[in-house]
Amino acid sequence: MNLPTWLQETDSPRDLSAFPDLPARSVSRSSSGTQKRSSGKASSWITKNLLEISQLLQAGLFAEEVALKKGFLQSLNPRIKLLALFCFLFIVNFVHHLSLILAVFLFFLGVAKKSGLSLKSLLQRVSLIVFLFGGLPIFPSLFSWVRSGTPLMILYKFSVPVEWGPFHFPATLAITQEGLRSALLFMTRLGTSVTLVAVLTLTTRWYELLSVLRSFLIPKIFVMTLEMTYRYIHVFILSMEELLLARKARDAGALRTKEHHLFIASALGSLFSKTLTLSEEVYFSMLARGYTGEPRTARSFRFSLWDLFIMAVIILTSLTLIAADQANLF
Amino acid sequence: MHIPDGYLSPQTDAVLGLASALAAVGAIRKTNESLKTKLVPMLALGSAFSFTIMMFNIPVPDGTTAHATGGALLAILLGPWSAMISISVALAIQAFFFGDGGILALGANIFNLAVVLPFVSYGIYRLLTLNRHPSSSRRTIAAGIAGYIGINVSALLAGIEFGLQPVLFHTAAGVPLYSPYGLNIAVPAMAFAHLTIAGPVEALVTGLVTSYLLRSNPTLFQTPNQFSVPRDHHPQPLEQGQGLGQAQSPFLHSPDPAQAKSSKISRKKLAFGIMFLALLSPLGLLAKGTAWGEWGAEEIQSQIGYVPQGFAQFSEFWQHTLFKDYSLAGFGNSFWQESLGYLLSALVGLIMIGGIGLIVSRILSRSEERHEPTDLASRN
Repeated sequence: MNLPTWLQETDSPRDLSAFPDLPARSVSRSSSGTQKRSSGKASSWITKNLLEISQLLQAGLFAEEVALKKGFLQSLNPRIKLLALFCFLFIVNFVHHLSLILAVFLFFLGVAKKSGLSLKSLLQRVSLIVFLFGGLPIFPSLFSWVRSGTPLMILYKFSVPVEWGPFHFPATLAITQEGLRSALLFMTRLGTSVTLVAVLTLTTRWYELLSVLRSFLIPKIFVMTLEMTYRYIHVFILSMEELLLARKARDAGALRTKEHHLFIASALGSLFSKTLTLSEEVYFSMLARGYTGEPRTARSFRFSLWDLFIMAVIILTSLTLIAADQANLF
Repeated sequence: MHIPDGYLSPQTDAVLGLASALAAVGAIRKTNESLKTKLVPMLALGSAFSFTIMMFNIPVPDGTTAHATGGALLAILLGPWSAMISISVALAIQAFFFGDGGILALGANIFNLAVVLPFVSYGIYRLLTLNRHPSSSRRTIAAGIAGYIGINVSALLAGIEFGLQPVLFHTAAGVPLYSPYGLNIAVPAMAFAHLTIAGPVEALVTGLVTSYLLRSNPTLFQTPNQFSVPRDHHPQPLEQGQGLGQAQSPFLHSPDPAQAKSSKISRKKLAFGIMFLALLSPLGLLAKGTAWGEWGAEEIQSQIGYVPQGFAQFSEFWQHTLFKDYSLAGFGNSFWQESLGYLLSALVGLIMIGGIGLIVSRILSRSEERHEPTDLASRN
């Protein structure tokens, strides 16, 4: 799903000479390009929102496509997959040894390959998240000025301790051993967690994933709300898309940030009013179809011996990894 | 401010998850039993609305965009309890389907964004609009302030959660295991980002949307903290936090006939039981002594003073086992090493049994009808 070509132009100020009726101020501002509030720039947030909406819908379609392929994970009972997700996430976040976390990571890359996932796109996605949410925030902690520790590589030695206003730093600026080890552990953990979630949720259809939550002692009211929410998110996002597209189509000339904010307020406000009306209508239509407050699913899961076997392997592997971590053999 | 997995220790996640679960139980109790049927569509659409706000990019003056959480807005419009459930559900969907925020850290995210944020904001909003008929501008400003303070309190909590990690969880050598920044860095960093950018954006969204709704849908604010539809008139105002209409249909109270449970012990239940016992087996390590009747030559020697000749002869027979005494050579130094030996033996045993079962079932399915799935190979 792509944006129409006229929407893909983003920050470049548009040529407004085709609109002679526009007020002089807006034409001169946007065509000169030197003004801070050119029309293109000011409304680029609309384009950004529209792009994000289309990415979200695309992600949903992609997940369905992967879940419908034939592969190892797709053939497993969704309950088993959720159990595996929780067990391995816990292990990855609990154990202290980098080698064990890497082993889990490599194992799941193998499983992903067996399940028809593209390793290239998976690794691209994971490395982007590891860089943004792991690498960038953790980077300062490598240095001795932020967290003291045993120096591993001395970067610079000042003659006297450095003082900047209220901050005091020691004379040596170095990358610390503790900082590096902690950063490696942190990033591996983050990357493996993200991989686990991506691999196990992409290979499960969304309604299966949600209905499995029921077997995990989560109150029915939450699970049913979750199921309905997932559907209505798409309805809301599409109506938001219509609102923004209509706005974008009428957008010409420069607007103050305040005017944009007023538009956002009216968009969200009207969406909320719509929420109220729609929820009432949905409720009545549910009643009309015989809803009694007791949710039912059309599909019930069956546990086969094969599932039991996989479940036992998952639990035993988890316990083994924890014991291996605690035994300190590495 | 969605915390990904890896920033917090599972112990922290568990504590915050428990706090969130307790709050969820409170939210369910707050909503009257008979109103629950209507609650589901209301909350589901509220959650979808919350999700939409969270993904919405708001332009900020420097030309970039920022996100708002909408937590304060929902608390003002729906009441804090309904807001709590709506935001929690939206956060869960973000974590499971869009990789936004961790799954183990979901409890922590719910605690910060869905429990603390709406309750703090709601409290402040109520405090600032105490008089009987507050003016629209007063409500708007109160909503803005509630949003600003709410998000900052929530960010402060997240900062404290991060800051506690290196203090509580590090290796013996002092290597931090999770987020490495102490309170002196984590709290100011979070506070700065939220006081300057995220706070004003939240205040703006909360204030402006409240102002818009005050003009376009003023009935929403006549009976505060209700999730009520203007065209649906209720004879009596609802209790705080119930947030629902009372129109009920006669169908609603027909109870679901309880399904009679079969008392037959099925094969699967038996298999479950056996698996459970297998998992409990390392507990045996805690007990001293050996199982009755499973004595080895050494135990017999110590109990009766001599080893019978036949016993000695046969005990030599099984010397070449892979995992002697269900353990691995050299793994007997500590409780965990011993457990590791046990567990590895169990895992290898299980995989061997599974492998043999798979081969047998393949052979059976080939020799019998081709398309009839056997027990072991049948899937959903």
